[in-house]
Amino acid sequence: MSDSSLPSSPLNRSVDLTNCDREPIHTPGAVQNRGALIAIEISSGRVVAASANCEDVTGLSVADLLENPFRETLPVLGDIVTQAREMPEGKHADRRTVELPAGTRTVLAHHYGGRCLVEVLTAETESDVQASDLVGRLFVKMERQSLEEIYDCVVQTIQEFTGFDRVMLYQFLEDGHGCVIAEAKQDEQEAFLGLHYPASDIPAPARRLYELNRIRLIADVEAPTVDMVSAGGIEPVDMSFATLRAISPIHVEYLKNMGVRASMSISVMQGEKLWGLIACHHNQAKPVSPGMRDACELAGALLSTFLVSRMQQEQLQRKVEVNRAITENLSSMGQSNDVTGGLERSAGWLCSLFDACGMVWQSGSHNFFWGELPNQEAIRELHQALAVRPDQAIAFTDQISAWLPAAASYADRCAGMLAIRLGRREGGVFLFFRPPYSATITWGGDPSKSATREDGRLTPRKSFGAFQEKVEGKSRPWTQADREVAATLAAGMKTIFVEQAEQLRKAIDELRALNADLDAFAYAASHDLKEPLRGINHFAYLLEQAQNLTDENYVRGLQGVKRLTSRMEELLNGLLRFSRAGRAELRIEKFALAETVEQMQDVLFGGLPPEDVEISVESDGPVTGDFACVREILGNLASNAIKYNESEIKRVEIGMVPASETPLATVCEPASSVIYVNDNGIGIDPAFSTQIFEIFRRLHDRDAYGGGAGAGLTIVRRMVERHGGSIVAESTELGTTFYFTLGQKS
Amino acid sequence: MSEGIASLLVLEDNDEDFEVLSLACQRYGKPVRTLRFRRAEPLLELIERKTLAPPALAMLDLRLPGASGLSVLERLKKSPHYASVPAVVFTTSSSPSEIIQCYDASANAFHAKVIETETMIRMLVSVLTYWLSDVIHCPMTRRSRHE
Repeated sequence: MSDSSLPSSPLNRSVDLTNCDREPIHTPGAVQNRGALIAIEISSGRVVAASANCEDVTGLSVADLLENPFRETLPVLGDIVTQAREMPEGKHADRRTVELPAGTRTVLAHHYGGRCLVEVLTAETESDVQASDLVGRLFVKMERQSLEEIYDCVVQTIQEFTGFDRVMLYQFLEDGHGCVIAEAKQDEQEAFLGLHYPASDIPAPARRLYELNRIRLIADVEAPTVDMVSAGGIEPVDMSFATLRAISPIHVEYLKNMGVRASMSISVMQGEKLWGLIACHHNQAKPVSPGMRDACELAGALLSTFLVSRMQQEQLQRKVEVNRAITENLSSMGQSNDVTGGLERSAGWLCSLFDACGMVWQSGSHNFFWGELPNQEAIRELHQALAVRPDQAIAFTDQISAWLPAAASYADRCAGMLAIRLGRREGGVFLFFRPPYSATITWGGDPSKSATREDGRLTPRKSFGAFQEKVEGKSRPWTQADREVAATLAAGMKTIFVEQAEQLRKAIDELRALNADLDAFAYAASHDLKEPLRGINHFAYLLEQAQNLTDENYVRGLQGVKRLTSRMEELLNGLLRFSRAGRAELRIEKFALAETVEQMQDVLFGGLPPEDVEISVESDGPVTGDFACVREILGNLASNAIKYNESEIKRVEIGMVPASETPLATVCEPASSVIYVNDNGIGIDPAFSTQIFEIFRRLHDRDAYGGGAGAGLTIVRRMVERHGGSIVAESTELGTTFYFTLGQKS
Repeated sequence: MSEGIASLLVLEDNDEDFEVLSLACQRYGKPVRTLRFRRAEPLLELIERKTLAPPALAMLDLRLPGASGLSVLERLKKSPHYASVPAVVFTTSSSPSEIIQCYDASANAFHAKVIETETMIRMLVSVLTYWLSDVIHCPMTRRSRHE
């Protein structure tokens, strides 16, 4: 079975393209005015496009550059172009300072899409900060802190280092929308911490560019952009990796609406995927020196690595904690036979585990409902809809109504659902529900306060309101972490069921043993009880035949009936004792063997052993089992030992030995202890060493050795087996030894 | 061994049952010489050593202290010397598995003992009549009896 995302789960939704998403922001056809961009066709070495401000920045006009071999026009930049061409696509060659006709300039270069892009930056004040300063400062503070503390520390440090008014750590959540998780700001500024922003605020193409280009600076949103001038018939210049790329007018507007004049974004990556942004905002135009940008970019890269490893660590830790909590909760559940009851008691905890508002458990005819839920009819519909997807162990959606339209009626209470199915059928199904976003999330920006434009153009501020409406009826998405918790829960539950199956198997084995005993009962009832009955009938027949009260037939008949009636009673008692041996609940405890033997003698002899009997404890030890049962086992074995004994002094020795020294070495742990009862009796023919344990099986004539029902050893065997142990008899001319274990490691 | 007196081998530990059989023999009316064993072990030994003269009929109880009647039945039927002796099982209970075991061991008949004495006697008389008077025994048995 596999995971499945039901319709409207973020994982299988096609990218939701908005106006912003469709905007070709990588080819804006313009650059920021803090530098000039020159695009060279690598194959020909000619300039194919240049920004209109080339003359101011470099001293050479677009006309001087366009369509001419670059090396001849600006030979001073030949080296960096050569170096850039040798770098992988998108990677920048070492930044350098060059003297151009217009003055001292910083030059960047990279190649992409068959073109080499040379960026010439107007003189920027180089700060004296070193990248290592920032990185060092950050890492000193990051040791031994929680992720939340590190987030705070990062934004604080970057704010101090760069001087931006506001630095935020913005995390992209699974459905693409984002949330401010840390913030360093000026006191008078409105707090954005904890606010959520719709995915469309940073559309997919922008996110892709953040993945490619790890630092982006807009030094002044008010500054005019400078158009590119291209040779005729060429494709627009792809500026995915260019630092001067002009910002989308929509984004500029967004920033203006927020009162932001300068902005810098540092990408925080989780592997190749954008995890978040360190977003720096400033109320004024803010040039950031290349050295400082390098430091920030490096900090971002190191942070990415550090955060990812820490996040993984914390996730792992949380996973371990969740797993432990699940295991502990479930194991206590597994110990009781009532899984449904146990789950119901854990419902609150389970829901908190999934951040769910309600849950349903259904397994066969057992079920329960907890918390905020759709009505019964709706739950039935969900179960039916899930039943046709039998291969999916975990299915989830953040918008049930996109999957089952009828769910719209309860989307205001339960918008998302995660289902866990245990096994293909009858294994049990969990449904966890999540409330709609609107109930749990604070969206950034209040539409009523928005400075919106009324020209119908989608503006950022307006999008909050639109998005709020759009997410109505949708829950927070089920994250990878949620699904892992679900998988853990499913595995834990399966373990419980396996354990229960094991218990069931044990119960079935017990039942089988009981059935075998019942068979023996039936046999005993028909044979051993009929035997005296037939005898009684025979003597009654003799009585009938008698002529008078002194007739021999009369006397024999009367005596026979009496004798057989008491025999019958004896057998019935044996049966009764036997049936009890199989029924009573065992109370397992630990006690000393000697204590049991002492009590056993009291029961057997009423406190006064016969003079010719000697019962001794040869080696004492701890016994784990049901005290009363063990007492009866020892009592039965001891009374047999005395009964089938022709010695002058009838000796019974009881003790414990390692299993390795007994015939039980093959059936139990050799190191475990085995109890033995040894006598100096008449012994048992080895041929009957197993038959002696069958009910009413006697080795001797009915009246020899004091008679008896022949139930004692059967009862002993039954009690030993109920403990999970085994019993064997070993006999020589000198006597018999019974060895038994109680199935526990003593 | 005199002709005309049927020899009956009886394996029966229960005295009352044996007494009922004796009553049946009286009622059968023809002389029957009965050889009774209470336990299987001594009988098994005689069979093993072939010192037991093959009887006209063996009546075996199954449940006995020690070795069972079934082991005697098996030994009899496996021995070429005694295989053709009709062996009839008399037992109190009749569990299907036991009946099958007995017939698998080539028992000639399986009878469940009945509680009512008069009925039991009548049943035994009919068994004696059938096996000792009506059935023609295997000549092998007769020949071996003369050996």
